[in-house]
Amino acid sequence: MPKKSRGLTADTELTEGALLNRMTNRIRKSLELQEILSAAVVEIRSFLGTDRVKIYRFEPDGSGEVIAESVCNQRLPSLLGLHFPAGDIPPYAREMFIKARQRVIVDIPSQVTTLSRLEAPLTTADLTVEDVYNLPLKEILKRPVDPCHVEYLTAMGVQSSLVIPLLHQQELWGLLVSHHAEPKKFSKKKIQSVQLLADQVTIAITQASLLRDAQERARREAVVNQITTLLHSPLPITEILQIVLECVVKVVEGSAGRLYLFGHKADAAAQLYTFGNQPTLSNNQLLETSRFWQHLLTQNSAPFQPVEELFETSELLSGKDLERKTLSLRSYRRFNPYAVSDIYQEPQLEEVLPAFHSKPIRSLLVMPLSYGEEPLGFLTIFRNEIDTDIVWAGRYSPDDRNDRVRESFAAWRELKKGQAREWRSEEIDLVRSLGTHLTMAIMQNRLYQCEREQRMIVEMRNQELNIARSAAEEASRLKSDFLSSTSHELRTPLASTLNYLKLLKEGFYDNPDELQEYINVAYNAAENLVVIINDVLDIAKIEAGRMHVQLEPVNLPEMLREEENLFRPESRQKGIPLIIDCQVDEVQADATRLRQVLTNLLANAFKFTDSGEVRVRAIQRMQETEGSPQPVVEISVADTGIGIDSDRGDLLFEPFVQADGSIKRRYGGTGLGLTICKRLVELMGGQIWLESPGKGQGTTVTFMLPVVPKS
Amino acid sequence: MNILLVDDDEILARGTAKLIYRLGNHQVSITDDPSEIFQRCQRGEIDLVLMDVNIPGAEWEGREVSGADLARALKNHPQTAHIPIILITAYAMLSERRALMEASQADGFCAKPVTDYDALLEMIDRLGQKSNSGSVDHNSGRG
Repeated sequence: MPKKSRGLTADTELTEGALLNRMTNRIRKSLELQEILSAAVVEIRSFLGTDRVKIYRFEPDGSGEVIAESVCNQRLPSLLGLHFPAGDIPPYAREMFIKARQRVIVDIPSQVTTLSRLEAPLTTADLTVEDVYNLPLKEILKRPVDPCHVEYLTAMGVQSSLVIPLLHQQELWGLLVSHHAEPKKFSKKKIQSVQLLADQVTIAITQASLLRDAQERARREAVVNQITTLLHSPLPITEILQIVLECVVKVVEGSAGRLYLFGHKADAAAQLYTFGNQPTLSNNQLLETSRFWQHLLTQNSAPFQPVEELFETSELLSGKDLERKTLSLRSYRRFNPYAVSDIYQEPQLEEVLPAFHSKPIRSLLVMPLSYGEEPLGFLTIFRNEIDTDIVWAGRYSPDDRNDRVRESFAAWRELKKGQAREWRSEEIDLVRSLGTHLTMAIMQNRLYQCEREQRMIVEMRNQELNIARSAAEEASRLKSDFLSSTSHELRTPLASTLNYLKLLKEGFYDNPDELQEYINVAYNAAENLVVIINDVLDIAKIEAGRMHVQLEPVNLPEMLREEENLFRPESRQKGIPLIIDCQVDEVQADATRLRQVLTNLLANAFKFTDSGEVRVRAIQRMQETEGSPQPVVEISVADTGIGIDSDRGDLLFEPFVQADGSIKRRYGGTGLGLTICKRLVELMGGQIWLESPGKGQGTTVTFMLPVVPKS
Repeated sequence: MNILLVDDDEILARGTAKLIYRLGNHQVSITDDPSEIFQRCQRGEIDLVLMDVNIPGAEWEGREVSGADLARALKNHPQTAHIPIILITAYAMLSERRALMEASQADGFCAKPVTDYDALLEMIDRLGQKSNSGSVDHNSGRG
């Protein structure tokens, strides 16, 4: 017998070894969890020789689904793809699975007998999670099985079961379950082997989970990379933000999104970028100005969570340190995304809910953006509601679920419409990370803009300074030129005066006529000197800003009549008629200075004209000034005299400039007359210019004065 | 000495000429015509030139010239280089004066109006004697 027994043992070991090998190889070969699980249930069922082996996975809410199954010859109905409610495996039972590692119920009918024998026995159903946690395993296993569970299994047509928990990261991930329609006992060895196989499945789950995490992380990193690349691309920031918004919405499977940025400066308007179907408030208000969004930025509002570190370290800090820490964190606080799975369940959103009516939006995620203390805006992502479709194992009503065990596990399809979809923590993390990148890009752009503005201001100031310096240098040069010219112009008549006075003083005259001539020359030269000095003083006075004009209505026809009288002798003497054509009654001017200008221009006209006429004309017309037409008076003095080359006309307004050297010899003068006219006209808010068709063809000097004086 | 006074202001020039004649006993003729200046200097009629810088309207070889330009032209012509030139100008500022002396290569300078005729006559005599005694050495004429 021992021999036979040995042989059997060896055979079993061989089978088990082979099975383990096969399983291990399969798990290594494939990264597809479903494939591995499907293979595992087949192998394990054939190894155990039971009617059904299934793998049951828990959902976060405690319910579960049969995700892999192997049934022998339809000895039991298939449960694959069916969901079981959370109540089917109560918390204490789950805790027991973790603690006991495996649970075998050999014979359901015998359990029924045990239960019926005892008077209100303490079953496993009376255990709390804590009991399971605290009591020794032996104690627990001594207890009869929960009668409900017994009933449950009976209803399923199962008479024996073996359950091995599948753990992942210390959490109950799922169960490996073997059911048999008959009572069945397993050897310790067999159970150990199944446990080994279950461990292999656990490894596969861990690997799959790692793989999924890695893939998820890679996908997230790729998105973050793509978006950071975009954020630093040379496109205009508005285009970048729009593209990034679209990317973020798509990557978290949102239906729409918006990026709201506060006005950067006090006078700047807020910016809003949108993507997808937006909720709209009836009064054209923006969502972001509502209380919910605004509360996200205020420090003590509920949605706001301070930086995690505060929680992590606060216990280690004394009161004072904590205060300091809080303060320092407050000044560098970060915001977390605030996720709302179901906007209709969030009381703070009540006031803006009308905006969402008639929109399929069900969830939202808000990432407040801030830089240091400065709030920048909000990144908001919307998600539409979804329809869920779950196939339950048996129909149950929530009311009697706990009291009565379901009699049928026939598949029952539950279709739920308009369901909220939870935001997964990876999605929230991703949005937080993208929000940070977005903040950086916005700040970088603002700094860049700021720096650019500063640079432009500096450049403009430099330019202004350069212009001012050139102007000052030019003014200084002109002043020195003027001084030099003045000195020269004064010296010439002075030289004549002195020469002839010396001749007189020395008595170097031969006869009384010569004596008289010397006296006359000296006198005229001295007189000329006075004229020049007066002109120079006038210019100096204007230049120094000490020449003040008093603008008042001046009767122009009357003033022109006075001028006519003044020049009548000259007109008669030279036989040149003076024609006055005055079509203006009044002009805004300083009477004394206007007369000085007119006299100067008429004196020039007569001086440089030998024949023909001198004509004064005054008209009113409209002139475009600063975009709007303004009435102006134009007075022109035209002669038929020597004229001037058209290109030299403007030069005559420069001090001491005359048309050419011969002018002085023939006509005298200082070359200051037109300069003074120009300055005076400009002081009265007008302009002056000179026109001549050319030498010998007459000259017209025209000046314009505004009718309404400039304030 | 025969002096040529170049000035465009005839009245002023006549006064100056008369004073130089009566005070220094030199013959002074007046002109502001560049070609006449060159002709008379080349013909050897002139012992010294009194040159006003500012002679507006004067043209020489097709362009407008100043007294300083004419002085330089005379100094650079072998036939006239020896003739002493005294610049007379109303541009009396020191910087202007230096620039003019440099440009004209003149021998002397006199500000206008002439207040000290004794000094001017002394300069005329000195430059005239040098020019006469050292006619072989062209450089001696330069003050």
